[in-house]
Amino acid sequence: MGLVLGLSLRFSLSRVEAQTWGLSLWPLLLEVTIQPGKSLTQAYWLINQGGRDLYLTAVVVPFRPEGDQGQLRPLTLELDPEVKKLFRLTNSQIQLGQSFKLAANSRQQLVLKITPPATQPEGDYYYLFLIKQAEEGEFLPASGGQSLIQIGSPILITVTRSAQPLKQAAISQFRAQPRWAKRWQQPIQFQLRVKNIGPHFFKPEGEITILYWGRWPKATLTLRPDNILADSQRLIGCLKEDRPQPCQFWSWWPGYYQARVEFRPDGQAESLQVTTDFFLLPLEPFLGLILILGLIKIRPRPLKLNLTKIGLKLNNN
Amino acid sequence: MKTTKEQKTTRPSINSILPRRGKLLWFWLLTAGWLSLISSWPLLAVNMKSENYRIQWGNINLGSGQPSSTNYNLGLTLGQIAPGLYTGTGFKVRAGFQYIHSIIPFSFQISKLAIDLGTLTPQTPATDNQTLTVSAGGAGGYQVLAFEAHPLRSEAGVDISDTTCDNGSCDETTAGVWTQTTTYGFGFNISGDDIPSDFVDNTYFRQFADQEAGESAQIIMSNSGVVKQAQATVTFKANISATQAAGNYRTNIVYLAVPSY
Repeated sequence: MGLVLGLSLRFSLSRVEAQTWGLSLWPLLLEVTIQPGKSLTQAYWLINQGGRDLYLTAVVVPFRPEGDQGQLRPLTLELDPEVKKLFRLTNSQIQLGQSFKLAANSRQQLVLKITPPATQPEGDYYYLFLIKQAEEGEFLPASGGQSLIQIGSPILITVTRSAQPLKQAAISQFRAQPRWAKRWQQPIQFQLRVKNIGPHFFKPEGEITILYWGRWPKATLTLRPDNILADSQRLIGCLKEDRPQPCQFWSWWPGYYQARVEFRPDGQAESLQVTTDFFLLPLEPFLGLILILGLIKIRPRPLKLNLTKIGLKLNNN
Repeated sequence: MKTTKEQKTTRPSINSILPRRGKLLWFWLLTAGWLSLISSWPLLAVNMKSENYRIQWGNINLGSGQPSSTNYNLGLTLGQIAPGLYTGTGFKVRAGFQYIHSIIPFSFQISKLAIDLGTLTPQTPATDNQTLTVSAGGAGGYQVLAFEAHPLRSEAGVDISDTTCDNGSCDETTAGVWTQTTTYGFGFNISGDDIPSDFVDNTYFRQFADQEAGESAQIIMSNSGVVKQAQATVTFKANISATQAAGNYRTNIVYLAVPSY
C-alpha cells in the first residue's frame, strides 16, 4: 500500500471586523434514523464571529414544515421538559437551557446526545437545535432597542424498529409552463410538487425525461433530492453537475414534447411516474420565413413594353 | 552399443495433471479460500472512546501537522488509506481527515446590536438601520425570521403602536407605503438580497410580528439555494404624534436564522 499524502491549503482568514456580530453553526442539518432506547451523539461547532463576547443559551425546540420550499416554523422557542427526555448536552460545563459565555472570535463544541426512550412511539420527530443570544442591559439612553441573534440547525429524527421504514409519496403537481412556448429560446419550466403521504421523511431520487414527439429522448433532468417531511409537500428542483438549478428545458427543434418524471422515495423499489406534454412552436422564425417568402413572391417584375399596343412599329424595311 | 540420448526428466506440469475444468475449479477454490481468510481478520479501525468521551474522526497516521508560512497555512495528514470523494446513488462520502476543511458552516451576522432611534420628535420620523449577512452552504437554502418582543414601550408601560402604514395598508405579513408624517407607529423596511417581494422600494414598510401578542415570526430573508454573503439592510422607523407620552421607548428585535431542511 503506497503512502498517501493528504494535503489541504487553508488561506489565512482575516479576522472579522469588531463592528459586526455574528454566529456560525455546523452541521447545518442532522438526519437520524434510530431505534427506541438507542443513543446517538452529534458534535456541533458554534463560532462567535464578532469582536464581542456573547452570552448564549442552547435549547432544542420542535418545528413543523411550512410552505413547499423547505421552510420551517418553530412551535416554541423555549425548552420543553418533554424535549429534555430526548436530548442533552454531554459538555461538562454547558447544559441545555443554561446560559454560557462564548468569547469574541472563538469557537465552542457542543455535544448533543439524542436518546429516544425505549417506549418512544415509532414515527418522525422534527426539532431545531437553537442557539439564542441572551438579552443584555446595555441600552442607549434614548429610544430604540437591541437586536438579538438566534441561529439554529434542523434535526430530523426517524424512530423506527425497522431497517426499512416505510416511505410513501404522491405527485401532487407536475406541469410544464408554458405549455405552448411561442417565443424563441423561451425555456419550459417544470413544476413538480411531491407530497409525503407516509410516516417518515424521504428524498425523491429520480429524473425528468424529455421525449420528442413522445418517442425520442432529448434530455434528462436529475431531480434534486430535497427532504420531504411527513405530512408536507415540496417543490422539487433539479441538479446539473451536482449544482442546484431550475428544472427547465429548451430545444432548437419545434414540435410536440412529452416530459416524464419518475422517482423513488429514498430509492425504494416502488417508483412513481407522471407525464405531461408541451409544444415548442416559436413564432418568430415562422414569421420571418413567411416574411422572406412574401418578399420573394411580390418582388416587382421587370417592365415589358408592348410596342404594338402603344402604336409603335418597328420599321423593318 | 547403441547409446540413447539422455532424456530430460521433467516434472509433470499442472497443465498435464489437471483437466481444464479442474483448473477452473481449483482457481475458484483458491480465491474463495483467500477471501474467507481475509474476511476473518479483525477490523483494525481506530475507535477510541471511554465512558464519558469519544474521539471523533480518530485515525492513526504516519505524520500530521499544520506547517505554515507568511501567506499560507497547510493542513497535513500523512498515511491515510484511500482518501477521496466517493459517490453513489443518493449519497457522497468524503473520506479523509482533510475533508474537515470542506465543511461549510451556516453563519448569520448583523452589523450592530443596538438600534438607536434617538430622541423622538412628533411628526418627525426617526430611523436607524443595520445590515444582515447570511452564508448558507447547504443546498436547501435558508430563512431569516424576525419578530419584536413587544411594541416600543416606555418604562412607564406606554406603547408606540406598530405602524399600519398610510391608509392602514400594512401589517406584519404585508408591506405598505408609509410616507406621510401624520402616520404614526413603528415599523421596518428591508432592501437587498433575498428579501420578500412586497418590499417594492424604500417607502414600503411592515410592522414587526409582536411576540407578546402571539403573532408568528415572519420571514424577512430567504433563499432556496446555496448563498454566500447574502446581504440585506433593515431600516427601522418610528413616528409619534404630539400626544405621545414622554419617555424612552424600547423593544428587542429578534432574528432567527435557520438553514432549510
